[in-house]
Amino acid sequence: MDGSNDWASTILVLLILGSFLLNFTDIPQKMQLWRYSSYIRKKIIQLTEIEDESKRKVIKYLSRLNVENPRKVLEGFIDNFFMISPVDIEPTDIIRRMRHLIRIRDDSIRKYVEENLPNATLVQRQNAEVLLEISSVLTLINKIVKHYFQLGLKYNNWILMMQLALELQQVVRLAKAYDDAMDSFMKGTPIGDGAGPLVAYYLKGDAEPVEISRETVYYLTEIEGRKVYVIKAKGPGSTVGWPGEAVEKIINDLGSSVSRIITVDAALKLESEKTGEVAYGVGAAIGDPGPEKIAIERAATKYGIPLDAVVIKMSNEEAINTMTKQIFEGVRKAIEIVKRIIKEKVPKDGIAVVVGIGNTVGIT
Amino acid sequence: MLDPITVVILAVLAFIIMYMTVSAMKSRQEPLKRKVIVTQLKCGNCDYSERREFREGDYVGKGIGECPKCGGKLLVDAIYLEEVEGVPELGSAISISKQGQPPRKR
Repeated sequence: MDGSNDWASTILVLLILGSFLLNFTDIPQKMQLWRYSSYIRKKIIQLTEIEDESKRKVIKYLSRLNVENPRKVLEGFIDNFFMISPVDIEPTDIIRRMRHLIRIRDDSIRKYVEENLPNATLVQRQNAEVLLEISSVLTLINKIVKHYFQLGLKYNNWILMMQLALELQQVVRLAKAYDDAMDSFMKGTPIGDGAGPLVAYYLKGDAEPVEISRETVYYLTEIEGRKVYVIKAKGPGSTVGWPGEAVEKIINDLGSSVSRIITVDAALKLESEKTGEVAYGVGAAIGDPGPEKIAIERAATKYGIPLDAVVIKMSNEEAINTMTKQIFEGVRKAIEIVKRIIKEKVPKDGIAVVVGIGNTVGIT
Repeated sequence: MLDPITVVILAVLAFIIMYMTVSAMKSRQEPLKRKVIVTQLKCGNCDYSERREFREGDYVGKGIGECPKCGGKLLVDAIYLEEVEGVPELGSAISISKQGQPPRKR
């Protein structure tokens, strides 16, 4: 037998053996399970580091505000203050029930922070609430990832492991974005989601604020010769206010004399879209679970007022981190669009309501 | 004449070297950038404006003092994150630029 024949028979034997191992045993699945689980383990370490880092940041912030036992305050918050969604198989009243539950939760968090930070200012307390919420979310993300990882290992479910491994890159990216966002709230800089309130800030001019709902103000100003009610959350602390309720109150006061309701909000962009792109359309641009949005829609429908929406596009990460220059430029474009809508669609003696939706941290 | 195993090993080595070289070249081409939070100040009375690095306590709408040009009220007009080219430095500050000039690039 010559050398080439020897090689050919070795390769043939290896191919047959390999084919048998791949097709008639669980070895490939076991290997995949092992590969994915080692990848997930590394990512869990990364997530745990992010979670610990977020906790350190909260403790540092609370210590700066002279809180006696910041660790205890943090531990008392994490895992608590969850909200059970209202029954949805009976939809009657669901919005009222949901609003009731959301507000109860908001009140409980506010009370908890007030009790533990009695000497802090309102802005500091509002920012502390958000920091505690972010830390709590990061803990929850880590727990959910660990849950699916352990479930996959327990039942040798390599498909679950593969799904988890493939999703994890995005999950870690989101967790990092949340962790970075904590710096923005600690410093009190405007965030991407603040694009709506920033548009409202520029539109109000020198008008004075009037509180209309909790943590929500309106300004009466004049734009292009038209009377405009500008609504936004009351800053510069971290809050989104109750814009739906504010619109409802104003519309119920003014009735059908309002010619237009314009909502301005940050919107999640598609991957192919550029940050800071501005688009306009019809409807209520607001990303709440339901109660605030429906309040705007109902108020507009009751009096037959056209509802315009202007959105400034950004990614999820950009929405919760310090506002970038591209978003700021988008804000400038949005202001021009709002002014154009007012000029073209509101009669000279008409009234418009402009609502800047979003978190007003860093914007008065 | 080279035997087939040697040829395969050489081909794999050549591929790895090429891949590493291309990756290294790609990372070298990316310009170094650092992020700076900029606070833009504007006078409510005249056209005076200036930019400086963000300081804790700044917020949009905050009164900062008097306008050096007309004595009017100087307000924080905008706060945003900007990418500037250059090597990140510890404790680095962007230069204060007036009348809406972009910050000095490093």
